[in-house]
Amino acid sequence: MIRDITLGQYYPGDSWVHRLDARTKIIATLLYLIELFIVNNFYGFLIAAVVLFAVIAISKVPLKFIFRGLTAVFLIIAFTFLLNLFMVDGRVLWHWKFLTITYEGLSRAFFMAVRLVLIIIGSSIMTLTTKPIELTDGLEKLLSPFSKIGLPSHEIALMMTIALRFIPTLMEETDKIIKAQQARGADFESGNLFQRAKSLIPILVPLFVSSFRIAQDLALAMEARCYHGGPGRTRMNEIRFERGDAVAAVLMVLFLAVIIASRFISL
Amino acid sequence: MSISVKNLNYIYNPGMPGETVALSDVSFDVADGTVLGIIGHTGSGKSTLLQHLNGLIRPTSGEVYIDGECITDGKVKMTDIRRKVGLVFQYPEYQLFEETVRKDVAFGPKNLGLDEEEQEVRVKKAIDLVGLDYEEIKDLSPFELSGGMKRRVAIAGVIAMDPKILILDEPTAGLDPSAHRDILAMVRRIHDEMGIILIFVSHNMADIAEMSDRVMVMSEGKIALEGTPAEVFSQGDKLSAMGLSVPPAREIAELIKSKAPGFVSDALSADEAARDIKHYMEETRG
Repeated sequence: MIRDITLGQYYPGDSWVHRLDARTKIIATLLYLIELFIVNNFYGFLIAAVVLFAVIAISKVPLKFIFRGLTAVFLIIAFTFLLNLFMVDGRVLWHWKFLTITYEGLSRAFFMAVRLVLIIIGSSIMTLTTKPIELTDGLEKLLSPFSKIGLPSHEIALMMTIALRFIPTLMEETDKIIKAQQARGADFESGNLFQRAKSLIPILVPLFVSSFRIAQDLALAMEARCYHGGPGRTRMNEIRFERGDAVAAVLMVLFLAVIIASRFISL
Repeated sequence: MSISVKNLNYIYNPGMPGETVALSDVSFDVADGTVLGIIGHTGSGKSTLLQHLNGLIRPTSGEVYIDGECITDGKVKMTDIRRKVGLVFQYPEYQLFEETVRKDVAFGPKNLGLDEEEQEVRVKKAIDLVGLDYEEIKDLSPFELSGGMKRRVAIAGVIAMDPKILILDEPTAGLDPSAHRDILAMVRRIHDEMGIILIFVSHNMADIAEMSDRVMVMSEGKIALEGTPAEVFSQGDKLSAMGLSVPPAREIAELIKSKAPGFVSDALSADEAARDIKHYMEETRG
C-alpha cells in the first residue's frame, strides 16, 4: 500500500514534457490549479480533463502509473464527495430519514470530486516528469526575486529538495519497521479506530528516531563538504528557457482564455 | 519442527517499470535442530527469502511448509506462523519503541495474547538468554543502552515469543569486534538451549563456517550452492566468481598450499589452520 503513493515520484523519460524547463512546469501547474477553480460547469471540466490527458499522452508516462497515485487519496475524495452530497441545501432529489440529497449538492459533490482528481493528477504530472532537483532549482529561481525582501529562497528550495529526496527513504524505512513489528505479532488491521491509532505507536516511534538519525547524518555530511548556503553558490546544471518553453507559454495563455470563455457557455 | 520450501518464485513490482525477479525456483529443506547459514551478495534474494518463511511476503508462486503445514495458501492464521517462526531483521535495534526494556520485550508476547504473568516469565527468560541482567535493565529506556545492548534487547523481543525457528538477518552487522563475538556466542547459546532451527545470514565467512551445520549460497535469486561448510567452502573458485569468498583461514591455507608442496589442509577456522601447519612443520622437519 505504502509504495502506491506516486506523489513526489519521478518517472524517467525523454518526452517534450520532460525536457521543459522546471519553471515552465511549475507555473503551468499552478495556473492549471487556478484554472480548475475558475471552471464552473461541465464543459470547462471536460476541456480541462482533455488537456490534462493530452499532456499525459505527450509525456508518455503510463496511465496505470498515474492512477496508482490516486488510490492513496481515494478516501479523501470519497469523503469530500459524500460531505458535499449531503450537506448542500437546494432542490430535494432524494430523502431518507436525516439524509437528503439535493440537485445542487449532487452537482457540487460531482464537481468537487472531479476537481480533486484533476488537481492530484495535474500536480503529479509535474513531479512525475521533473527530477526533484530540477524542480527545486526551478522553484529557487522563481522565488529569487523575493529574496530582496528577505525571503530565504535558497533555504526554502533546499528544504524542499531534502524533503523530496527523503520521501522514498522514509517510505522504505516505514516498510521495514512495519514488517519488523508484524514479525513480533503486531496487528494493524483489526480493532476499532482507537485501537488502530494506538497500534501505530510501534511504527511511529522508531520512524521518528530514524528520521532524527538520518537528519543528523545528513547535516554532518553537508558540514563535512563545507556547505554554506545561498550567496555565491554556482550550479552544475544551469536551467534556461528554450523554444519549447515559449511554445508551452503560448499554449498556457490560450488554455487560460478557453477556460475563462468556458464560464460563459450556458447549459 | 522442519522447514520445506518448494519452487518458490517472487517478483517485485510485476508489470511495472523496475520489475525484478527476486527469487526464482528456490527449493530446500531444513531439518530440526539445524543451524543454516545463508550467504550471498546484496540483492541476491536472501532477505526476500527470509521474509517468506514467516509469511511477511506472499510468494508469486510456490509453497513454504513449516512443520508440514503450508503457510502460503492463505488459510493459516498469521499469528500462528509468527509464534513458530521468529524473524530478527537487520539492525533490529531500530524497531525498539517502548518506554522500558521490559515493556518492549513484552510487546511480542502481548500480541500473542498471553496473560501478564506469562508475559513476565517470557520476558525474564528472554533477557536472561541474550545475556543481560533482567533486574538491572528492566526499567531502563531502551534508547539509553549501548548499541550492542540495544541489539540484544531487540533480539530478546523476538525470543520472548518462544519461536521454534529463529531467523536472524545479519545479526552482527555494524558491531565492534567484541560485541560481534558476544552476539555470535549468544546466538549459539540460544540455539543450544532452545533446541531450535536457527537460520542466519552473514557476510562473514568465518562466522558462517564456525556456526553452521549447513550453508546455502544465494546468487541472483537462486540457490547457487548448498551443503556442509566443508563442501561449500571447498569450491572457492565458484564462490569468488559470485563475488564471495572463503573464510580467511582457508585462504591462508590455500596460499600455503600453492607455495609449499605437500601441505594438506581443508581448514575453515584459525585453529584448524594452525593444527595443519603445525602438523606439516613436524612432518617436514622430521
